Amino acid sequence: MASVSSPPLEAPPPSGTARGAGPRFARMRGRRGREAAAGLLFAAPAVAVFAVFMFWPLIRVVWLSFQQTRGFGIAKWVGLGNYQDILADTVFWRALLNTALYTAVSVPLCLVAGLAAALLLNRAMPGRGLFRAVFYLPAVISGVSSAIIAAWMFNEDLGVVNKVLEPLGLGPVHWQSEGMPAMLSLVAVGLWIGLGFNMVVYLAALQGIPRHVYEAARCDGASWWQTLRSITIPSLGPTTFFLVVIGVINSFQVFDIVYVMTGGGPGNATTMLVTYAYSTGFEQRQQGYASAIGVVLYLIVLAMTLLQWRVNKRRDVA
Amino acid sequence: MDLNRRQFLRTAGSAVAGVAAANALAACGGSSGEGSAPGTLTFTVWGSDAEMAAFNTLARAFEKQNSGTKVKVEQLPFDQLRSALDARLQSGQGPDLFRVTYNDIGLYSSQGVLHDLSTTVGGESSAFNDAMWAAVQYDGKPYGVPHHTDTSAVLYNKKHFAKAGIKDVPTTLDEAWTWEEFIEVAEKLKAAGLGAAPFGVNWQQAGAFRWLNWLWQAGGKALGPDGTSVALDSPQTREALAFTKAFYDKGLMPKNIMIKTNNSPDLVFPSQKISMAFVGDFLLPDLMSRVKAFEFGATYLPKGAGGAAADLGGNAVVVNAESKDPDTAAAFAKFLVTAENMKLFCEQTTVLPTRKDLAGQKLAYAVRPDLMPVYQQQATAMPPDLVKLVTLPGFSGVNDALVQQLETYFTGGQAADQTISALTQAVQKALSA
Repeated sequence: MASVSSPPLEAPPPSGTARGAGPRFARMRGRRGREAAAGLLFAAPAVAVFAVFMFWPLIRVVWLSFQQTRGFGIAKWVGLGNYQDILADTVFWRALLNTALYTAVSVPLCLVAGLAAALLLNRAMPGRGLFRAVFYLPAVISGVSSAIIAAWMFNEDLGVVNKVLEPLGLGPVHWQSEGMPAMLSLVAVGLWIGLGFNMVVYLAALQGIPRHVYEAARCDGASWWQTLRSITIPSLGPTTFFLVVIGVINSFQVFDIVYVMTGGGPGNATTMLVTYAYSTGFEQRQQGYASAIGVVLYLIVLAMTLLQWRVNKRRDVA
Repeated sequence: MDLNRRQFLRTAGSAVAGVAAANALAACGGSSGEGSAPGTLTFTVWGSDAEMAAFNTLARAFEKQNSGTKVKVEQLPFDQLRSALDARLQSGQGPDLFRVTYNDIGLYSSQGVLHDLSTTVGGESSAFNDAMWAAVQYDGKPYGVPHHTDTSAVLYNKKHFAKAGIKDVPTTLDEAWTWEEFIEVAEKLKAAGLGAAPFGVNWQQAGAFRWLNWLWQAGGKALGPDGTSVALDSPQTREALAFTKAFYDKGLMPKNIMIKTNNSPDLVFPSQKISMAFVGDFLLPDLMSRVKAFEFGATYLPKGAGGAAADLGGNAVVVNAESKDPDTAAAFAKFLVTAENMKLFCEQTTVLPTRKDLAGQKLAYAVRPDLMPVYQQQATAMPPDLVKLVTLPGFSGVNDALVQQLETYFTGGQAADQTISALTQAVQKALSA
């Protein structure tokens, strides 16, 4: 009887891998590894830029926030001293309140106005390209330039806004010398600058909604309002989430228009967290304290973004 | 050559890695400082068109006298200069020389950022006005050259004054309006209904320290006789606060020309919304280009019970302690303040000289030479203790406290006692800086 030699014993395949797939797996792993390496190399410049311009400054800011320093000479380590000072600083709390108020008003307004402009300019109409450009223009002009123009427009003695309002019996409004009108002027200018970006993002999202859904709704006799409420707005959910996150971050970081238009006044009526941090760090040269304000601002924005992300995730699951 | 996806990824990835490595190596190789060629001095300034032209004229003259040396005059906006310069100095990338206000020179001197100019200009102390020479000293050593000074005066709209029937305008410092007379004039202008309000004072933002003129005019002081204690808690400070707050409360000064605003009197004056503007002489060239519809004159700041007092304006030129060629930089700083060169700069830019030998001379000012004698006389009313205060190393903190506290006080958000207490703390901090 011929004996049958038994095959050499093979090493057991890795769990989850079919017997005999070893060499193929190794080939795949090699290819994937090389692709991953190439991908990492592609990402490297961006990671390097982030590391140098974002992560390293962030670490430095946290480090500085534990010191008392003017940027020159010898810094003094004060531990949590700057954070304790923040707790007792009435201007900081006023700035936080102002920033939250500005965000609470300007973000929803910008969303609604951006969506309205996008809906309007998503349909065929004469001069559509021109109108899109006009709405988007403030977003590409430097914020400081826009703010300088706005400062003249809202000048309560010489500005065009009061010149228009006065004949209508609505003025003069004290845009520069009273707190609430000053804040409203900032919201108006923030809206003017932010509207174009929201409009463009909504326009892109609107064009991604399948036409047949609207056609089906029309066949079912849905009105314009019902279509908007039941199809358009739900379909734009992820876009709206993105714009809310970006809007909140931008609003919490509002600086140029405040710095140029009101300087944070009258009183502290329009002092925002970033203008206060700037003034503390670069005008009063308390760079440690300004860094502590910056860290607090970072944590607030991070917490709000995480909160929005969780809410959005829960809504998607539901 | 055909490339498949994998080859493309590999080639492109290698190229990106190569560029990144090259950049990293370049960064590790260190920088060439300012990027200036050898023999080139970088001189960082802010300035109006007239000032830039004068700086460049002097830079070319220095190059002619010192062959092989180039002076690059670098202009930055005033608002950004402090933060940009601080960042560059902190990273060892500062210019060889820079322009600095007398309010800021103390900070830079005290932090070891500036080159000691004792061997360059130390022997020339007697050439400069005592107050100006004191302004550039720290620990008994000069850390800059007092390049020029300027101060404020009251510009008035002649058409508005004629309409309001105001004929007597002081023509000498001795005749300057008292506080009461100044308010009478303002009330007449208000009654004539000529603009938004009768006048605007130039105490906005970096100029908030000009409020101290009113304190000194009231007979008050910020520092005690020993120069090391704070003396702000006084009836004179309360009087100065109440008097200046009344400008807004009585509608004599527009509320949109507050402290934090960028809306300063020199910007509003050409519109005729105010009839009088407190303005520094260095702004005259710009103002002349914008005032078209009326003629204006100049008179003195009002006097209080404590007499006349005017702010120390102007700038010094300093040398960076880390300059690669501090001797040539110091030579250029010295060159800027020779009698001939200071005269040229002052005449072209309507600012006042700091040299004693020029103080009595009639300079040929390029713009409104008729108004400059008012500023020259007004500058003689700069109290030495006010000069000492504004050149303290920590004075920028005092100015910022003035911005914050006066704004809050004037808008009615804070009592005088609280304001004085906060200002006292700021001056204490400046003294200990």
